[in-house]
Amino acid sequence: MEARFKTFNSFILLLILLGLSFIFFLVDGYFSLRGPRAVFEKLVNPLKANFQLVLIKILPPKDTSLNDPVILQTKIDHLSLENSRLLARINQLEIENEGLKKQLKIISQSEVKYLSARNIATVEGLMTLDKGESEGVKTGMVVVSEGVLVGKVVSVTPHASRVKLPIAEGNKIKVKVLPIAEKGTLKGTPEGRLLLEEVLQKVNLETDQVLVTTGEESEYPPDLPVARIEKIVSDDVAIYKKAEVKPLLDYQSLKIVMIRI
Amino acid sequence: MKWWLIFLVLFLGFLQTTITSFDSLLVLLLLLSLLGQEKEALVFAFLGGLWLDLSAGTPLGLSSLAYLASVALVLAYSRKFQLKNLFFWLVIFSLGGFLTTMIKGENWQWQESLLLAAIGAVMFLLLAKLGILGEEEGIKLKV
Repeated sequence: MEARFKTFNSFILLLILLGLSFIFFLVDGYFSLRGPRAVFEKLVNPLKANFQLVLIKILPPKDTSLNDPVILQTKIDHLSLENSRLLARINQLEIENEGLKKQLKIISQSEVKYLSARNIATVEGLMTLDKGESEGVKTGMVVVSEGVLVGKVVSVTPHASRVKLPIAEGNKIKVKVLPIAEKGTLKGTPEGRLLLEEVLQKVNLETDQVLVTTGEESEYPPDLPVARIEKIVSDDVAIYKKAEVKPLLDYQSLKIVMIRI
Repeated sequence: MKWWLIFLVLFLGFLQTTITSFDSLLVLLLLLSLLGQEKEALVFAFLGGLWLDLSAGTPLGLSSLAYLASVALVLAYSRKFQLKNLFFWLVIFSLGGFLTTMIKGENWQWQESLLLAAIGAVMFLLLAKLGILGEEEGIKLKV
């Protein structure tokens, strides 16, 4: 092997560097190098965030969702509905809470809290946020923006977290089509697009219908809007129907998102 | 050691974690090793990999291992095969991409390997035109 290298020193250097890489890999795997990562992220995250802002300014994303009255109305309707549902729930919980406080004499706190985080990079189905383990972020947490699903935290480092977006390749989310409430599966493609699959042939799909999470897999809470149908791919022979779907958010242009902690 | 290369590696690593996941760092490392800059290619494969792992939050050392394996592949076989062979460049670039993806545990996409091979071909033709690959008898495109 070493005879094929130009010099024997190169071969030795390769072995040393391979060994060092392997040691780093093992040490990080077993002891998690939090210190160096924390320092690095403190230094680099603001740089990434500013770079992202510059990028958005240079190449402004086309937010077609805000120009589309149908989507806008759907968003408003959904948020109004969610708002009234949450107000009713708050009212109910406050009454319940008061009762419990009286009985237990303790002050409890609401279970679901949101933590705002900056989007510092979005690269092909993966969004990097500037909040991590030190701020209480854990893997599996759900990220939303404007009441719309952004994704799920898949990895966390001291001051950063990575969120798997619905468009990530191979990502599957159980959804229902509004207003007919028929179920299907939303799938991310290698091209970074979304497909609605596993919808029964008898279901009458239409363009601009909104897809929300079912909450079945317990990975995502129910009724979070994700996307809308853009084009129905008709194949009468197939068991299931398919549709090309467009996310309700332009993930690249998101500056601030909310993490459900 | 060329200092501008350090900035280029840092810049490419930064781009790779902020704009596109295309492995531009791998292209640079393969070029360095194909052009005979053995030590630079090895050192930057190691440092660039560490930089990428810290930026992307992936296990530290994983990208270094992947890049070092790709560079080692070039260094081991560039003696055996002619550097003036276009086919060798095509294979090395696509295989380098495949190897890196596999070691990193990512999903391999043939489109990316194809793109890497195309970049390899363009680089080969460009360097051949500039006479960097050697001028004796001209460059024969052996496929």
